[in-house]
Amino acid sequence: MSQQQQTVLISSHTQIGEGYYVVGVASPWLAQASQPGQFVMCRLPNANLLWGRAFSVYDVVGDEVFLLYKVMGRGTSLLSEKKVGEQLEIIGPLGNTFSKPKPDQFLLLVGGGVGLPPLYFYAKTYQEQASQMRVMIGARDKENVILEEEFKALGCQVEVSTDDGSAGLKGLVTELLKKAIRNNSKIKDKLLIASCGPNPMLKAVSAIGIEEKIPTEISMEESMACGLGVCIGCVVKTHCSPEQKEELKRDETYTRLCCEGPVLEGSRVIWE
Amino acid sequence: MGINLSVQLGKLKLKNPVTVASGCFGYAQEMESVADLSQIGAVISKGLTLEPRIGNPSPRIVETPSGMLNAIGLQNDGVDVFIKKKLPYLKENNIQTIANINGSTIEEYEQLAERLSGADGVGALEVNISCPNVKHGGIEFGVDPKACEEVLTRIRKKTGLTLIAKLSPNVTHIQEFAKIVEGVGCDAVSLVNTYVGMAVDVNKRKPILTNITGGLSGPAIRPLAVRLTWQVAQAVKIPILGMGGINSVQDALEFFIVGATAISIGTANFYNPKLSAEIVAGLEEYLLKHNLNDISQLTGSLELNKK
Repeated sequence: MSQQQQTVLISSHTQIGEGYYVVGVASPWLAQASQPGQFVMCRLPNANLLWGRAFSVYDVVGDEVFLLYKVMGRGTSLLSEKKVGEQLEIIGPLGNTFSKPKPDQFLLLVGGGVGLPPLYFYAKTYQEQASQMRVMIGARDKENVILEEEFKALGCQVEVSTDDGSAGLKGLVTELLKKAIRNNSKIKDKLLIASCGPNPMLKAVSAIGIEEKIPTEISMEESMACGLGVCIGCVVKTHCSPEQKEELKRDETYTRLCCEGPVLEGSRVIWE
Repeated sequence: MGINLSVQLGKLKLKNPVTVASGCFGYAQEMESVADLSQIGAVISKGLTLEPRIGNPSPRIVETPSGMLNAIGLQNDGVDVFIKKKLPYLKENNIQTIANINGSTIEEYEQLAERLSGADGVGALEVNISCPNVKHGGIEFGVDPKACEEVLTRIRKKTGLTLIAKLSPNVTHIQEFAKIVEGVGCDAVSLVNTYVGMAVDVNKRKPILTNITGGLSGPAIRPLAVRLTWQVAQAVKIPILGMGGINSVQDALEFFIVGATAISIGTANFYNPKLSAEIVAGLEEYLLKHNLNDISQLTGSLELNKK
């Protein structure tokens, strides 16, 4: 199904932590069409901001779609002031999706900070396999650990790491990933890694996936003006597919995250 | 009484004067689910080069007050892939297509013009001599009168298609370049391309764009573009394709009134893909309200205050 541009009404808006908010919008179309890993461009009418802001789909309940965001700049700050009943301009759903796990696969979900929401939607979509999902949440400190209880409620195993040790393991979330791979070495060929978070984390997760020969899907982010594939702003460098190699006469290319991503095979990305 | 919105740029007839600017609408197919393609006067393709180009590293874009900076670096799959894979879609959907061409040498421009003139479905060529984000070619031809004259003269000899030259605003006297465009036999002139700008991350003390500088577009540049359109309209007789920060019907009207025959929507497509259709409807409404029956009556209708 393809995307649509719609004006939607805010149906709920809740602060869930220091700077973290969940906004719900009423849109039967978006609710029905959204797949795990996809995102929307969300624009505030008359806000004197040019671009929409890209938010991954965090949850869908009935006709409502939920976006979880952290206040980072002017756009998210203005969004956080919006009340129930006010309008948002939405284009979506956009982008590709995380792969549907096979029934015998075991998912290792690695999220950093505000990268957790698309992983939650992924886990919830395939909740019947929740007992085969291990979620690793990485954050700066305890205040930035989000969705721990929500993942547990789905039936996933959850572990936390923080930079300062104020919650869970003191250290990097990739340490949790390495441990999880060691503990599951007998079913290594059934493992699948999915990850979303800051680039240094995604780079490290991808490197682990390559080294351990585990398929790894990462959801990435770059500045994005349109979300539709036409501005060619939101690119990351990747290895060319065989077809691209022939057509472009080179080995590397810049891939648009909005329409060829945001989910990419970790091994395709060339980290700049 | 019917309202006529069709306009003529050289041999090219547009069913309405609202086009979408190069680099702001891809090759149209990307926008089919969110825009009404049948309402667009012409689609100007993303900038094409002879060989595929990889473009610049990220970050390539940054939002600025009422505008944005971009330094994409002409990423495209090359003219052959355009002809083979993009053009058939445009043709099948009866979308009037203007191919935007970019060379790093005069020979490359010549070859692009030849190849596209032989392709079925190209209505006109827009020569980009004003790209600010590539190391060679592009803007070099747009800021040096001699280079400008030479490249356009040579392209003119290679194509019978309607030829439009896209000018850079990063010059002192744009009229001088517009006169060259007219003098060498181009059919129309389009303006403006982006203004060279820069944004700095003050915490890192680094440029935000990897390319350091980028092209500024969006509503921020509109008054500048309107003024240059007005100046060029007084300097040449060939039709003007006016653009720069058009964000509403009223913005579009400004360009017609100061002398544009047609207009292009650029940056606004990124956040409002339906704008071109809204403007087509709005122009008709405006003409009706002001008892005009042809869009050409609006072009250059600016009344100056008597001194």
